[in-house]
Amino acid sequence: MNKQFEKLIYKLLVDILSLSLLVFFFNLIFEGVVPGYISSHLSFTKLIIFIVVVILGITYLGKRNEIWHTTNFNQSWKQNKITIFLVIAGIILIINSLFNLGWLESLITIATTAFILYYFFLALFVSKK
Amino acid sequence: MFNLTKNVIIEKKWQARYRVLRVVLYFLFLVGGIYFAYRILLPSQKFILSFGTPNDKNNTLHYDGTENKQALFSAYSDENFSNIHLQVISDKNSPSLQGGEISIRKTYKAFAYPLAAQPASLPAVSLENSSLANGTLLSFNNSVFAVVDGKVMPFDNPFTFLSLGYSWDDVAPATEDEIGLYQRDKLFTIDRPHPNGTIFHARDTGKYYLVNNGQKQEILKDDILKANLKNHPIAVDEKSLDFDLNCELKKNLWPFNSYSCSIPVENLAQFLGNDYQVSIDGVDVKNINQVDLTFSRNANWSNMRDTLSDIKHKALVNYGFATPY
Repeated sequence: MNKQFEKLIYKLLVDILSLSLLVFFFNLIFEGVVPGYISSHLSFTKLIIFIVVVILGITYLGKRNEIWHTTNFNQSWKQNKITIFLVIAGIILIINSLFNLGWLESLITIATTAFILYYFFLALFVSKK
Repeated sequence: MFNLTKNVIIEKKWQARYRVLRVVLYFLFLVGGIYFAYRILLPSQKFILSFGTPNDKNNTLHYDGTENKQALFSAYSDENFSNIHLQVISDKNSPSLQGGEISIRKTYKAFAYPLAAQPASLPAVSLENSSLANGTLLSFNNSVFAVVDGKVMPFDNPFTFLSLGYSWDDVAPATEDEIGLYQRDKLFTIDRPHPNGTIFHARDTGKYYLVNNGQKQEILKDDILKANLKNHPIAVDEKSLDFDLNCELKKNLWPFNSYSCSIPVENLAQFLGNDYQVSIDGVDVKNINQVDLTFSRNANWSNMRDTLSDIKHKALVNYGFATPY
């Protein structure tokens, strides 16, 4: 297949992924605020399956065209717009989920999340450098 | 524009194609987003009945039977709508259904029972005075139960309770032991009629009726006064029994063997009831394969304001700042 065509598809898939993640997180936050309102109209399972398929497509085309490692992962996390968006969306979702929990459960959830996020950060950004 | 793949370089010719496709992609997402917001803000409800698979759980439209060549169907909802679109799919090789007349009304299933020739006598009404008569409402923990024929039926949700016209003021607190004295029946869902012993009060005519074994009996006003009712009668509208809204089935281009028509039903909002009853006149049910009923709302500020108000209330309930309806 034409390499240029594959790169074009790759670029479009990244756009689709960013838009899908935007849709996914906004709907997830809205669902957290008003439970049942979004899930009665939109299947989160189908959306997740769609996102996974797009990620697999990006991975496949990225490896074939050796562009996977030249993407934003070499940037600082502060320059990575998707990471900043994911972190903000994640913080909103976590805070929202704590509303109906007791203080002990909240404390355990915050500690576990902070621990996972720290190692996620190390694995993605620090180790690359 | 927001570009995450600046470092993936493609030739100039392909770059131009990418720009066009990207605009198309963003446009499609925008249209999809607007359509999704429309579905959220102006939700529709669809009821289906497939005669081929009558026991299918997806059959949300109920067939109530045929009387005087009028097939009657019921769709239960506690919401008000702007339009109803009915589509009938006929069996293959069956005669045309064109010209079949569709009529619709909104009432309570039990209030639409035939009127008995004899009015209800006082002893029957006085059943309401005994503490756990039919229709008595009890609460325990977070559940509300209705006493029906010596059993207790828990309401499946507050919307069902309210859609049947019950009042929270009529719910009497009960202990676990008191509830335990009764056999527990299946859930009281929105498609169940009011039980025997229920008293209806017509707002427009001032008449009272008693539900009694698939019939409704008029109660004389003097008897009502003497009975000193424990619960509020269920408010109804005598006018809701009229099939005033009609349309005629017309053949669709697709599917080939389908017929449909639409009726504006904004006027039905003035009537109390949770049972949208649809009558199909002049069509033999044996020739029908499937009936689809779609309730929709017009895109106007009033309908959107209702949805936004519902969203606000549910959000407040979620964070404990308000109680469910």
